[in-house]
Amino acid sequence: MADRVCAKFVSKKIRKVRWQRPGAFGRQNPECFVTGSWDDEQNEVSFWNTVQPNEQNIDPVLVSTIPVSGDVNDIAFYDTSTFFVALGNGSIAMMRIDQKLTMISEWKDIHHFKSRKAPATGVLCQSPEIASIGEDGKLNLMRVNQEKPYKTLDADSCSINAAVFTSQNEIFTGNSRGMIKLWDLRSVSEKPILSTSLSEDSEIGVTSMDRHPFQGHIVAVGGYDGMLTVFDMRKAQTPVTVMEASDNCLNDLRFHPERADHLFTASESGAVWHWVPLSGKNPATGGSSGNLWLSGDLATQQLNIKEILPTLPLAVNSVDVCGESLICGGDNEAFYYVSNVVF
Amino acid sequence: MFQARTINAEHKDLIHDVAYDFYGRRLATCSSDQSVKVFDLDENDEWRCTADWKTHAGSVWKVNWAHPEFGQILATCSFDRTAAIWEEIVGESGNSTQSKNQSHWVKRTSLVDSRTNVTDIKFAPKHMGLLLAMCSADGGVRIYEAPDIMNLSQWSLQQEITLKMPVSCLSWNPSFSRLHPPMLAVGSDDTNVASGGKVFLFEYSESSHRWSKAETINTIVDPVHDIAFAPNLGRSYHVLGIASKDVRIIILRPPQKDAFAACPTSQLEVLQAAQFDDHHSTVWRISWNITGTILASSGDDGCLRMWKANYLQSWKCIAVLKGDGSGVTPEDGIDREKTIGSGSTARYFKLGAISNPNQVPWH
Amino acid sequence: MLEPIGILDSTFIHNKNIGHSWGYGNNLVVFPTKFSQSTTLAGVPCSRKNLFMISWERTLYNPFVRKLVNESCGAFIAIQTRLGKEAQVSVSELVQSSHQYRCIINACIEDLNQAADLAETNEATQAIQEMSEIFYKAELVWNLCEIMYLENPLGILPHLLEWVRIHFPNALEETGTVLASPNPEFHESYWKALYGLVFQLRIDSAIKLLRIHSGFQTDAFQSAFELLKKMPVFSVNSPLSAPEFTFRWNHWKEECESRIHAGDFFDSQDLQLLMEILCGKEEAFEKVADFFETWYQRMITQLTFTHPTISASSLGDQADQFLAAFTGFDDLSSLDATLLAVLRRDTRKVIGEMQGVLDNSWFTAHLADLLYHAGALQSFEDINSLQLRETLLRDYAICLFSHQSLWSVGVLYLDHCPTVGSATLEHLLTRLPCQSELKASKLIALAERRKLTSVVTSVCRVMGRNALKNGRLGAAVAWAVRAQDAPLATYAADAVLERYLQDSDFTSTDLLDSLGAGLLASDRLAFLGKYREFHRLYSANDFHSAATLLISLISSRIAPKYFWAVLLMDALPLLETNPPVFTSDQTYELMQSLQELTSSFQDDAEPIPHPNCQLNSDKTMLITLALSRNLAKCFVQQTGYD
Repeated sequence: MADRVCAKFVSKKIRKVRWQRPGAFGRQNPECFVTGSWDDEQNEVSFWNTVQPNEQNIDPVLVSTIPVSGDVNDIAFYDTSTFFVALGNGSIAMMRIDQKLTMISEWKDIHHFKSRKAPATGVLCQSPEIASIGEDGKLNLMRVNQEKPYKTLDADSCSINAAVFTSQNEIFTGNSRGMIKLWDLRSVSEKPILSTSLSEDSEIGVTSMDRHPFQGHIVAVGGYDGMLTVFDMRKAQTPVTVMEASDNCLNDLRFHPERADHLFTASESGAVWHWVPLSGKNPATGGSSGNLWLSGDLATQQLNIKEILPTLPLAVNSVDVCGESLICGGDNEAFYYVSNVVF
Repeated sequence: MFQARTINAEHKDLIHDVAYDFYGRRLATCSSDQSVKVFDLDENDEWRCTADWKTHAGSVWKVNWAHPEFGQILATCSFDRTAAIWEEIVGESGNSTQSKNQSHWVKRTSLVDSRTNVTDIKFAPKHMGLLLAMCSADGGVRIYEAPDIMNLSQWSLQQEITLKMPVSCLSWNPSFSRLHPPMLAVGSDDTNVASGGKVFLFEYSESSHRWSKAETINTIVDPVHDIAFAPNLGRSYHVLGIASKDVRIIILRPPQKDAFAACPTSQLEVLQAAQFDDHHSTVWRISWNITGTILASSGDDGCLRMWKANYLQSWKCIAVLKGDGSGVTPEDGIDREKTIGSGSTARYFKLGAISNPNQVPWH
Repeated sequence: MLEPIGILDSTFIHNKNIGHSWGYGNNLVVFPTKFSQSTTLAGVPCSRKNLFMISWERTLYNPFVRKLVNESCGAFIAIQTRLGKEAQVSVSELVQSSHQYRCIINACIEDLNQAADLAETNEATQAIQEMSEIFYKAELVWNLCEIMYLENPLGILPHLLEWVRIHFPNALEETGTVLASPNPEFHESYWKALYGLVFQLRIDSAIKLLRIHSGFQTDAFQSAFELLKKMPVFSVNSPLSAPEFTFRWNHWKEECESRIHAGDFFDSQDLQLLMEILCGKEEAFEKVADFFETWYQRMITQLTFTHPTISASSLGDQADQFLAAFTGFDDLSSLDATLLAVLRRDTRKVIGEMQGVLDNSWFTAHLADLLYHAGALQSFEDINSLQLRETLLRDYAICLFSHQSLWSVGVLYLDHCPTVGSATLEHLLTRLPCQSELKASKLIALAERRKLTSVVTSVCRVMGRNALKNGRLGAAVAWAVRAQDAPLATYAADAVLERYLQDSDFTSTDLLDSLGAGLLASDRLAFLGKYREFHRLYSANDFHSAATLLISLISSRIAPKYFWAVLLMDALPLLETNPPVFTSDQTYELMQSLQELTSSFQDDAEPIPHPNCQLNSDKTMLITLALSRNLAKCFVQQTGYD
């Protein structure tokens, strides 16, 4: 059974796509998603619906759009209907989905250089904590309803490109020189618990990160050179598994939220890959499936790569998957919706 | 077809020159009010004035940006017989939004060697280092170099060339090639036609570290007001635009290397590719677009003409713009009306605000 | 002669000249000024000094048209890649690509029409409608080009008829109106509609319309009906060859003519006229001349009934004649001129006309590319087809680069210009502003893949400079290392050292501790790394290694002169240890360096970045003392061993 792919040109380069994940006991397949654009004179955050009363047409429909100032660099959902947007003008905006999108509030200029604004490169949520990272190397910590960040760490001498919460109080960050640090938010000192680098002998930057949905000590990191590196937080000094995921920068990587053995990557060379585990291990339970990602050199033998789409002429910047639905989008000003990803 | 947006530069006197920076996101203007202003394109796609300061004791004729690899640097030249180099200093953090919007330009050096009106100043292409040339009404062409690109207060006079006639303009050849030496073109606005060619080409010799005259273009004897090399995108020859009593496009073919090449004087081949007298009057300014595919010229007929070559290298005029001071301007977008009667059957399009709803005329 | 476009501004009354300066791509800033500058001129009492930023070719930036830009990019690349794999592309594949392009254009026209309906102001509606019309006309021309250049030149008329049918639906519309009326046969347009259907060779529809007529059962109508049913129709897929078809056609025509002469259609003038038209009689066509909207519709219809098997090469002359008869050559509309050029297969003129009329280079670029691959650009000897194609593609790419976001698409087009692509790309990419690291990284990745090293270096240098300006020393070093740029690396390293002197602490220690390969970028950076290591060794109490390192830093001259004073002061605690860490040789070295420093200070050649680098008499004394004491300790130790 072939994937059903629907392409939609939106006349703006797409930087981030994220599903509005259904509530805990809701339906498996999500219905709506959010996209953010970049590199245009006027950028925007848009809300789309994939479910139509007329079943024939699977084209997602634009429900609502909010123009924003600066590139949209990241989108992270806080709960089912609230999400945060990291903007290129150094601000983090909070938006809510009702019938349409509304901007609730904004933490303005929390990322800045000495004399001008610095792009905020990422935002992450682990309720009630909200964290943001930026090109100024700062890590800001916020809570909803607070006017300003309650803590700001001068975390890095370079720009921080990706970060994930590895537990309620720990954040793993990666910078543009491939330096990875682990921060304890409760710590008084401004130093990381741990500092290591993506690769021993080179300065390849970190471009994306994602955490295993069930086994929080497993973090996958994507690099500027297309390498996929997996860390085990229990012994995070050295990476466990290193695989080549693309010949070019890995812009986004996502573990499937339920079938965590499945990974999806989007690369600068226009490829969107689905990493399928080979043998019939049961993916539903955490159990032994985590070992797949930690199996070091054996990992590549246990995985098969499937191309979701034929390679696009320009970069794919983002991919997200939930249930059997996948969306991805990139610099060719279009997003692609696949409604029945095969596992 | 054409769309325009307006910026009020608010100079108190005539504006003589305007220059975009390398990326097209900053604009410097200079005026007879002796000051220079810098405008920046902000994140909302609007132009804001971020600096405004007095630069000279006389009208400022030209302003020129250095390559951004050297930093944010401007050069100005003026009627007060001097030229100056300015560097932008980043404002200190912490202060109110005011400091965020305003930037501060500092004079790094004053070049005072000229005894007369300095008519033009241009930075050299970046592959030559931080170098500039200026020319004066007394015929002097001076080339300065900053040996330490991190220290802009130190400029040394590399060479001084004296021509027997007033120099009005100069242009560096932007092409970088190991095969041809660096070249500088200089134009004179001497009104005496009998004194010969008015465009001079200088070449730099690596061995003697000196500039010497390689060629005089004798076919151009009328006063030259502006001169510009076209950016070279893969051509084996150079293209020079000249504003004089008409628009001229000259092709310079460097000498071919062959077995007998020992002659130190370059046998540069000078050919005329086009000559246009559509302005029917003196042509004062010409400039090339960034790919060297379109030439713009302004003349005393109050028109700006754009010239383009087709794939067969045959040039023709593709557009004409004319300043029109007549009548009151209605403020309602693009308006067309035919003027009837008397000579010109020109169709006038009002160039009003563009469709970008965010754009507000800046006061 | 070109009509001037006026810039309305009252300042132009006094200052007639237009000053100008080019921006990036298709835009220009102009301003009123006075060029003759013999003296400084007193200002005109007008406070507004306006600058006008003029841009053009903006049609492609409209959101609906942008979709066309992206979709057609995919189609364009598909053609080029196919060519890359097989040296030649078959004509049928090119026709398919042409269909794809036309499909994309039509989708765009539909989007524009929908948008025009939803537009908020009359002006906006008008502007969008105009755009839609232009695209419609362009698609008309494109379709004709597809027929004339790509389809089989023999049997061209059936394609032309199809072209007319698709683009001129008035015949069907009129028929619909007539049928909807209460008494169709008495409708004033009944016969006009019928003729219209026949002109487009919609014979079945014409027969249906005839049937409605009350007189259908009469002899005249039945005779016409029979003839219409029997009429041979030439089609591309016809098993008949041209001569065979002509034979049958003539036979049929003879029958028609004989029936006309026999007075079969005496009862109905309109039917008689119809049959005369079918026989291709010039007089008949003169009578219905007004029913034709355009000369080419008349030409196609008339030729269908006079020369149905005409080949494409003869169309040119026919077109001239018909156009002359219809409107004459004076004041030809550009659409007519273009269509004429296509029918004549005068490629150069086609492209010239389209360039003149259209506000954007999309059509000429893609059409020329298609025709080039079909070998159709070489219709005249003086067309250098390769150059023409590349010039047009480059113009289109420049238009794309003039937009904030569409430059990425422009890159893909320049990739397929073997002669001018690389140089143009290098030039345009270097000037692309990078507001964020993300953009800079993408630009660098793009440039590296195309081996445009100058772009990589330039972007890294500028990013490094910006980082320095913003006080992001760590990032500056990182960019300098990436660009392998020694001067920038040196300057960044100096900045870090200066910061250290101020704060007595290293910023960006994480950066310095992991420089690795970066140390090779510049000596100063290498020194910085090593100095940092000295500190680490010292705090780890590894005094011997620290001392050795310190000596090597000075003796290898890798340390900048201005920093020697600091290094000597750093040596002080190590000199005080017992047993001595420095050997006597090393101590002599230090003494020599101190000597060099104190003597050279007379020149004061190098600027001192910080007071800590100043070597005053107190410090000199301290160091000299410490050095002598250490020397003594060394001697004692040595004699102790003897």
